[in-house]
Amino acid sequence: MNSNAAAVAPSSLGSVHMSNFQVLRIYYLEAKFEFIRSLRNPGFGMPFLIMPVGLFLLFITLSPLPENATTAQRMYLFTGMAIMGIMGPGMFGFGAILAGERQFKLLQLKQALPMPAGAHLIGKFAVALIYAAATIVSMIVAAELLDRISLTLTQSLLVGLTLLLGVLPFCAIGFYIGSRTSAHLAAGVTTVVYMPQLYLSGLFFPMPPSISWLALFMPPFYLNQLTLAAGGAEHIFIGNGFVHVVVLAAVTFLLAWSTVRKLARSG
Amino acid sequence: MASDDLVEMKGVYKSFGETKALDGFDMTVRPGELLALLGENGAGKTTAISLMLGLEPADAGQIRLFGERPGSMNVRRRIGVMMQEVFMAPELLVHEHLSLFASYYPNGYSADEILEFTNTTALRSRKFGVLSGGQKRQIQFAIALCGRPKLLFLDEPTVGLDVQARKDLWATLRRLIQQGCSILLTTHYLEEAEALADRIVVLAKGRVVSTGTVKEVTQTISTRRISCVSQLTPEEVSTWPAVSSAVIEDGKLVLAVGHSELEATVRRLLAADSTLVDLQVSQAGLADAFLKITQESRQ
Repeated sequence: MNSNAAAVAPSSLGSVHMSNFQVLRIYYLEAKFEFIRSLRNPGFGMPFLIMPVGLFLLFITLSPLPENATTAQRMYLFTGMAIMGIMGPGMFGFGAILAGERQFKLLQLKQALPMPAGAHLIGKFAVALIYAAATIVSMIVAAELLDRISLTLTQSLLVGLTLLLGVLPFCAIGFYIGSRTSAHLAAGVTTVVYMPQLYLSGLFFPMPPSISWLALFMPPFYLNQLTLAAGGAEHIFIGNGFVHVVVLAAVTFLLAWSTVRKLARSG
Repeated sequence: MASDDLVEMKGVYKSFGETKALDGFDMTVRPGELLALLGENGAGKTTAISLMLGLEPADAGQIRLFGERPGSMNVRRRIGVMMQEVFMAPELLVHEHLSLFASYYPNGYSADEILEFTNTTALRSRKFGVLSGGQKRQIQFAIALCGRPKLLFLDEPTVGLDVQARKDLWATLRRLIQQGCSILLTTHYLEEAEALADRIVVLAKGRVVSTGTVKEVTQTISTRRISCVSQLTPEEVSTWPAVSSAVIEDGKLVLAVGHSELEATVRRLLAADSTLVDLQVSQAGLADAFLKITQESRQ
């Protein structure tokens, strides 16, 4: 042991106030260490960064565009692959991790300690946004370089921003699952929720008319149509674009709120 | 209660379904003391701590920490907590974990300060996931201290530690007590409670069945302990009516007998084995007292 005992004497019962800067630093450090952690885990970062772009390049090769392709034809594969790319980190990465942290009491420990409510989740949200941003930028650059899409700068920014914000409902779905399943079950349950959303939301091929109504229950459908609209492509709005934004915001808010309540109640 | 008690639990009840985890539980933690909370598995220790930490609400009764409700931010910024078997990100380095947890407090230590204080500087740049079980416990102990707590909750802190690490942890606890920190310790190692605790609370079926200093608790039972080197076997002597237990410890025959039967038992031992040597008689230890108290509470 050291001789600096006095240097680590317990505090007096005096002030326990923290400045706004100190509180903001907690959120920053939660996000920073979550990000560092994901970078050091090749099983996490690499698939979510490389897979979407790799698959996109593969499908571009397999399905060349016809001459005089419409904007919709150009955008369809791009938006589908981009949305699939941003769904991964939110739903699989952080949902499953949250389930483990909850089951093995890290969240309970942080609740007992003075971590601000929600800092842990917001840190994970921030990292999901970083991964989504990297995926989106790399896909837009690849699609433009290969002449798969042809967007103005404004359209590119709008498409990028739409996709970036679009990661939030999928994070909320992942967190919701992670707050209610065991670490062992989380990945399986997420797959059961993930796969139907990919196919029933019409991301990659038009739905048969008899079951096309199922898309109304799939968040990727709303995001896909918003992204197509942002890129100037043909799209289907239920009502108008604002309705799509409200649906995605409602999914995010309700599931995140429910998750925070669940975690606050029982860890 | 004295107004400066850091923890006050009065008439606390908590049930999970039909199971009563706490059944009128009373307890205080005073400034600058180490209180050991003892009890068999399922006695209600973990529930009591969960309630104190604000992780669960009580069904009834009063709980106050620093005069405030458990779980308030003012309370949480004054406590440190070490739980059992907590998952920590295996990819992060030890000093990164410490920096993160210290950031939750207004005046937390730097990672290097707390590593030095807990004698774990050698682990500073190692990934948490590659540490041994004992080393993980040492870092979780360091995390509990990183906010300069006035009150420390330690749940089985020395499980899995080697002898040196356990000695280091005990020394750190003694230093913290000297500096005015209060500690609530749960442990299954009774010698740990005996060595460290200012007071002991023994819990059974959600109620306090004994409380006081180690000496006070052990004096509540009238058992005496006889040890000797003898050719008699535990099986032989355990049939004697006054002997409540008989075992071999470190090559010696060790008997527990009632105080009123002490002299008669010693005479009988000497009569039964003329080769008997190294005879010693002592007050029963905390382990004997704990066994007797918890056995009585079961009856």
